[in-house]
Amino acid sequence: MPNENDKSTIVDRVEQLLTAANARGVHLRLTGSRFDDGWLYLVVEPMQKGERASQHAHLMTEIERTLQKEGYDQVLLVPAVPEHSGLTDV
Amino acid sequence: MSTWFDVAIDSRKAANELVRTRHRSCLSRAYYAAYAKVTDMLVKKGVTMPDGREGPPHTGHLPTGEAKQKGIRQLIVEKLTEFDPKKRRALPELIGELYTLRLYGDYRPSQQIDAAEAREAVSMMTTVFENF
Repeated sequence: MPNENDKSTIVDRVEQLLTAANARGVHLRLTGSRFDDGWLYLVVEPMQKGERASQHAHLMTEIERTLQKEGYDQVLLVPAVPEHSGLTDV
Repeated sequence: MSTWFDVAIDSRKAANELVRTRHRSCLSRAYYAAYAKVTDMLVKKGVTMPDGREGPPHTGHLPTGEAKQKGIRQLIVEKLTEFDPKKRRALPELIGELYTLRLYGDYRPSQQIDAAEAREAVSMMTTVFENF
């Protein structure tokens, strides 16, 4: 379970993984984060039009799995939706 | 009066009907079928839903304000403890991917969705029904 102090480490790692994915042609960016009750929510949104929805969904799962293997098992990547508000900028 | 299981079955049938013809609509029905199936499992485990709601918040609903409401993925991890560790990891992933597909289907027309996404969503939905 991550704690508040882990947040910047995890955010940096996710940025790194997203950059690697960008090089493979899957473009997502981190737009917000929130730590709550032992869970870290990381909000992502598409950077380019015309990419496959399933590639984005798979990438989010892949990043969560990577973080689990690295010891951060309560991190959720969630897609940005219009209702999201009050997020902490990354 | 319907149960969450009834809702799940109805949405599953709709997703299966739409998979070849209405790809974006299929994603929505497939997600809600899986959401209702998992909610049925949570209700049967005695999980109490937040005030004013009959089901848990979706995974993208971030906790805000005083009322801490755990989302469906957190509830799977914390409450459906009868599953082995592999399944307890897989089910939230399936729900998360279906939710992303559903959001893209409804809110992101600029992203590509076609028969491949619809088939994949139905496959994930079927896994939720048959393996959990």
